[in-house]
Amino acid sequence: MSTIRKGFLVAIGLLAGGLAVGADGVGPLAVTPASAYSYAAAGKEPLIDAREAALKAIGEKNWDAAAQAFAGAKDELVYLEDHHHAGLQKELADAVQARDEAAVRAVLKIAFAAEIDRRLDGAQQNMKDYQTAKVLVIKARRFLDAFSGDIDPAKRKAAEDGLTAALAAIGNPGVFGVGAKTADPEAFKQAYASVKAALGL
Amino acid sequence: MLNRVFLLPLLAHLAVGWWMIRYPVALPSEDALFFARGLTHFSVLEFSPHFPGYPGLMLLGRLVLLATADPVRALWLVTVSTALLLPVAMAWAVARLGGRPLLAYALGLTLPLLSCLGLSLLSDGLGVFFLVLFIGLCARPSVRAWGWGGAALGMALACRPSAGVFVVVALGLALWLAPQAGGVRWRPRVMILTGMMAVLLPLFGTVFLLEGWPYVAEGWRFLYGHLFLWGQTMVSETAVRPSWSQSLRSLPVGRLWALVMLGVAAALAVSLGKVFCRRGRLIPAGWLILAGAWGAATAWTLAFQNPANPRHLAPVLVLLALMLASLPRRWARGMGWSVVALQASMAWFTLDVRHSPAERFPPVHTAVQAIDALARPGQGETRSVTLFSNTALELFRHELPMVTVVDAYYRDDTESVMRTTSGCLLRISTQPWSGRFGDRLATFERTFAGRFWGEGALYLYGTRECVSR
Repeated sequence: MSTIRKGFLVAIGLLAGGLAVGADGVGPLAVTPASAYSYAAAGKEPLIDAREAALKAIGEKNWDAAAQAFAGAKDELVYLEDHHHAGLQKELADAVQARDEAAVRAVLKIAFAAEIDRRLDGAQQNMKDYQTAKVLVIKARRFLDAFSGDIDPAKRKAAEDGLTAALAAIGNPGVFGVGAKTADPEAFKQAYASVKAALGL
Repeated sequence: MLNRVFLLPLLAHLAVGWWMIRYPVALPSEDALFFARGLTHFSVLEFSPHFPGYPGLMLLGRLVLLATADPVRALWLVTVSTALLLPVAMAWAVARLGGRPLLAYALGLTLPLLSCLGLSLLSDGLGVFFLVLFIGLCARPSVRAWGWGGAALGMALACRPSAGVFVVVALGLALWLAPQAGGVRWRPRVMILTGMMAVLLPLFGTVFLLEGWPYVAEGWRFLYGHLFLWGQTMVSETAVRPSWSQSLRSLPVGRLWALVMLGVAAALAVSLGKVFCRRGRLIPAGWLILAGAWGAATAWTLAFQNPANPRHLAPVLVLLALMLASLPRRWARGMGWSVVALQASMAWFTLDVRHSPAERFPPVHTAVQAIDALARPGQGETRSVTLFSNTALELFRHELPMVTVVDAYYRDDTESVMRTTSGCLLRISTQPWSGRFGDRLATFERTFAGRFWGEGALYLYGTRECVSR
């Protein structure tokens, strides 16, 4: 057998192997989205950045700077107020005015939950666009990780399971159709509802 | 005579292999968890595994998964068998370079990182293994061998993409020197590129087809993060940046060993320079590829890898061992066997004879058990626990669903949670308590030691409420 023919057979074998890598399997560790702290940290998210700046100022007892810090996430907060939680900005301003750190955290928790709601809503509306829907659900998971310190662990786990189910419901176009799974809007709806229930939305 | 020569290495190999396979099959890190997940559900965007997807490792792991249903065990089988094959591959490559295979084999078998390469369940061992195969294949002037060499280089890149820089240097040298491989001038060059692309295109092409353009965006985010934010590299913003010197301090006579290896590198450089000046490009191609790859690996590792993980030194050390064993000089033989003796004594002195390997779990595993015991202090009794960590967050969330896990990367959020939360607060870190986050956490401290060089210890400390009944 010539070298070229052998090389061709190896290439075909590796292509088949590559497709095998892409096909979904089952197992105890399967289908769980994940992101480590540091791996998640590089993405710029105005609300996460504003929270860090505000909490730093609160730690230094500089409440004016804390109020200013939320200006960095003004667009996000306006959007969330308009579409997900009316009165959000006033609640935040009141908590800062009252110099109550726990209250600030409570309002931030609502804002983070609303960010998750926003991403899942976007994913639901983009179910026909696999990549967009998937990225939105993964962004939702990043917000869930970022405010894990404020959620009861059992509820966090329930929300995480809901996001995992949402990812599965989006389906998968596969590679040239191999390993393809069709989207299941009904399953997504249920997963979305379970995340909202876990987060008290 | 032949049997006598091979009897001792065979017995040594069996002893090392027996020792390694007796360690329990357990996840030693978060990245290993991501790899194990990737074997059953591949999605880089979902960190299953993390960027860039390591398709070579995933392919090999999936093949082994056909024989065992457990993804962690499949990963373990791949990495342990690669580590055990590494000394053999080194001996084979050096034999093709016309050197001393037995010395290469002994240098590989006594390599202080060998256990770490096998039991970390990560991609370092595979990357260096395929790089050694590439060097061995390119050592002879054969067009066919160089084609296979290209495939081996492709696999090195597909298994360990961070080796890309020195792989590119090795490839550049191979292409430059390709006419020495014989045949017409263009054929060896085409063969090596064809071999590499035959591996890389299907594997990374599949990943791209699965993930689409978000894969590219994730790649940019990940590379930027590794280099400048979290990677603890020379150019990162990390507040506490470990050094290679500190990493070597954790190994008995590690600094002496490092000095010896530096001496070896210097002697090799002088020797190579003298030959180069005298005979120009008559230095064998395989040798130049080896030396070039080593230089690039050293520069890349020192500048852009995390010194907290000594396993990143594996390509540097293995390539240096290959050079030492293949140099046809008497002093190289003497120096080589001295390094073997030093490495063997280091292995002997680090051997924990009090505990069987079967009882020794990774630090993160024992830390999980300790935290679980604090969260459930008695029969049916539970305690609310908040854990702050910069490391293995996903692993802790996976293993400890009853514990609130806070990402300590967000320092101000962490301090705020500490101010507003009462009860049992725990901090787990790769560093002992240093006063960071206040005295409140200094009530107790427990250390979970690494099992071998390259596996870092973990430190757990916390508030009084964690230990009071």
